[in-house]
Amino acid sequence: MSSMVLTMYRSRETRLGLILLTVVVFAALAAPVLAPFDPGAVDPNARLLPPGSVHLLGTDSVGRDILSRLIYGGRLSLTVGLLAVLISALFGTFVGCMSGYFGGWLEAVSGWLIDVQLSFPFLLLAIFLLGALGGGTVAVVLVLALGTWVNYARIVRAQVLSIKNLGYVEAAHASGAGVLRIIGVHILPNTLSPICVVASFSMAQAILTEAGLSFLGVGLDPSTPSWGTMLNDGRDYLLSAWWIATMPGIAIGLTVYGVTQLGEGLRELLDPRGRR
Amino acid sequence: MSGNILELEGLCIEVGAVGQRRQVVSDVSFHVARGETLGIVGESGSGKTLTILSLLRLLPPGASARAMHARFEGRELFELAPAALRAVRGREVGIVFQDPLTALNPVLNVGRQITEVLRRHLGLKGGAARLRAVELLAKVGIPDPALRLGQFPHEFSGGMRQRVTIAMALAIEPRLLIADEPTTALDVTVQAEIVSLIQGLQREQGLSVIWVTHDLALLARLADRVLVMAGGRVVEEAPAARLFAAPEHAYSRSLLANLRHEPNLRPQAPIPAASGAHAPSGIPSPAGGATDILMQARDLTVTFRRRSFIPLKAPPRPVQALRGVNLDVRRGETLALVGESGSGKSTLARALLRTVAATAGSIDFDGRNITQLAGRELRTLRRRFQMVFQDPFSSLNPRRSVGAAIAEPLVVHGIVRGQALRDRVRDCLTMVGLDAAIAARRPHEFSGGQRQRICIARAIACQPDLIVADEALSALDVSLQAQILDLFQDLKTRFSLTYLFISHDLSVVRRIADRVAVMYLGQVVELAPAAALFAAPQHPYTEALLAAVPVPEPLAERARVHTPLRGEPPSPAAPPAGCAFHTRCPRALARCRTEPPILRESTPGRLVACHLFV
Repeated sequence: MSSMVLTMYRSRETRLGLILLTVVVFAALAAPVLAPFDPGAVDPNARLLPPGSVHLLGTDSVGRDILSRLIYGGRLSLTVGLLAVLISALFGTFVGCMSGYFGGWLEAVSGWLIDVQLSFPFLLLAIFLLGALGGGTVAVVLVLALGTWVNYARIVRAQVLSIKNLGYVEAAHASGAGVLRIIGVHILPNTLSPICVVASFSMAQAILTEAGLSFLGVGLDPSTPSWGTMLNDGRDYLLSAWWIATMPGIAIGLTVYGVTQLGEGLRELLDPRGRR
Repeated sequence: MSGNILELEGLCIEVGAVGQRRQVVSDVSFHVARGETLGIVGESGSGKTLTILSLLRLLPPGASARAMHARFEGRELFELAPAALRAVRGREVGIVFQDPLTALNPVLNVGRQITEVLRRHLGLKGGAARLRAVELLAKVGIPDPALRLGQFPHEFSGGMRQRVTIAMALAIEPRLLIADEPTTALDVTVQAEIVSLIQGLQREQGLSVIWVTHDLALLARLADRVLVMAGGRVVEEAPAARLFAAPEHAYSRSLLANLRHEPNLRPQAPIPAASGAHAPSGIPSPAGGATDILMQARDLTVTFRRRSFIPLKAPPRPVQALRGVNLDVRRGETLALVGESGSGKSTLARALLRTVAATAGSIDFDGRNITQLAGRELRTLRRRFQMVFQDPFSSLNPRRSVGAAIAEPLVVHGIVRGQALRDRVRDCLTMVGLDAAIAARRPHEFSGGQRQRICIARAIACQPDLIVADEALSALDVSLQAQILDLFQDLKTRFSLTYLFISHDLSVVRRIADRVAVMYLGQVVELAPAAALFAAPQHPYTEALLAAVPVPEPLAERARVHTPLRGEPPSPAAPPAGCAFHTRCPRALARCRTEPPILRESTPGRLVACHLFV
């Protein structure tokens, strides 16, 4: 395990991504300790303060400390992104694997579902569904998962199609291995690296989409701080108090960069040929 | 000006990252005279391909070459300006690569690709270019050239595609043709045609040819001089006649020795009782009776239906991969399946092992009908037969250790576990000549030959009765082939195994097989003891196959009359009526066109499906 981390640490970009993510995750976990102010505390006397010595990143229109809200907001944004990625990866991989391995009507149905999903503007669908479901964290996670599962399904299906014709799968089949063993031992592990790459990009995409939905006001509950709702808060003050929208923007950017780099590193790590 | 079209002196090629550069080609010198054919022979990694690529400065990124001289028609190739270099590449040197599929652009029709060359390098346009392209295709022996100009590469077979690439190389009327393993991906009958084609063109146009190959036997017929390369160096250079008669270097001698194996050195398994009088003495069958049949196929038929991708359009005709095959595999024998690609060899093996579903017919294994077995019963049966595949790189899961791969059949069938399992894995590794300590390592750390040994270890792990080797030696170099063949023989006697040995390489078959089944378009056309078959083939197709194999003796080889088979194998989607071979058969009778021959005994112990032998 330690050698694996070491391998990842060797690439400069991956190292930077790893450090960034560690900082973000650590800050989110230790929010109550780290945050200098209560993220919800309104201070009418400290409205729209620029970054300074008391409020390091300034305050918003009702005088809440932006740094504290960023730290707390990370909790929600990261959780939502991670959950969405997990759900969509599991579902998409399952669908892709089944349709790739068994083909037939399974493949036809899932192919049709994927086509429908891809041909429908996702944001429109998300706004419609969130409107119908009434928003909230669970709804946002599900909608985000819905937006990305096709990525896994398509890539896993393609991988399975090529892997199932390789010699080692035929050898396993010929020596009496059952379907579960063939899929679980021989096929799925070999699709891991593309899944990881897709997962890292989807995580980034999920964080961005969550921000976008919250920005549009159909996402998470505006009273709980998330990076998206903070962006939304700063929309009206872009010219007068730039820091309100910029700070969460930077946080999103750095996190997305970190996740993407980590994905790259994972991909290289998981390729058994690349390990030295 | 000298009589040499190409003179190379002191070529060195280095590859690798800065700081860890390795010299992979060292001090290679040779020349090619006008109208001469120089053969370069060597195993993979000998630097033969890099050497010729460097001549046209086509080395892959990261490789660099230098030489004291690399003169083509008196010009230093390594000092040419880009424009002059392109002119040499395009107009004076034609090159033909190994893989005819990747050498052609799949989205442009063949005519377009040829006229493009003509337009760029010779300035021919429109109708003139088209006319010339038709001429070229006709010259390389493609029927209906005008019609085929409009077709795309996927509509051509492998051999036809290689003809197209040759036509493209010749379009510019080069003075030097470089052929890099042009026939390696092709069937032996097609190889014979391509060789005849290039030789004919060479005579006509006074071409010089550099022919790179791993197959020394092929050069017996082709080359005036032969350059033997090993480890990035030229180990021997000699006129073909002298090299084959009296090789000087130890490596050349070993190459030749591998080619001229002695088929009589190995013990023969018993020949059937029916041919008792003809049977050479051999070791007794381990399982007793000579007619003990391990596996039997009766009227085995496999048809692959194809789906239509366009709605409402009738689906394409189904491919008839196997058309009523009858075959007995005797316990303890090595039965070889030979035939051109597409003849159904692999499908037959897979149908017998029940990994491809039979459309009709029956399969018996060890006296039990297994045609309809399914589920657990079938999976349990599978421990009794194992497979070894052609490509040692794709037949091992890259994520699993060598030990886990070998243990797989044992784990699947729950035969042993724990320490006993680990011991068995170690035993298997030792038996195939590998160090038992490698069990923890991953496949990518091993070479092709080692991987093939690992695959064999996996195949013998659960002590099967039957091993199917599907082109198991085809991806290996000649010297490795010999080693793996010995390993197969050794394991066979130790575990009284039965082999079904699929190969397109008849020289390999000759060394290992007891009996040979020749397949053509999904049917067995001849089945005979190996010695008898190679000594006197009966079916005209077997005859043609054997005639196409080059003999490693320049004089004998050149004296032979080469009459390559006409045309291409017909499509398995639409096999000809009557005898499937009648379209290409030099001795076809009128009844061959209407009446399909039945596989029956022609002489004791030999079966042949041909109207000439009834």
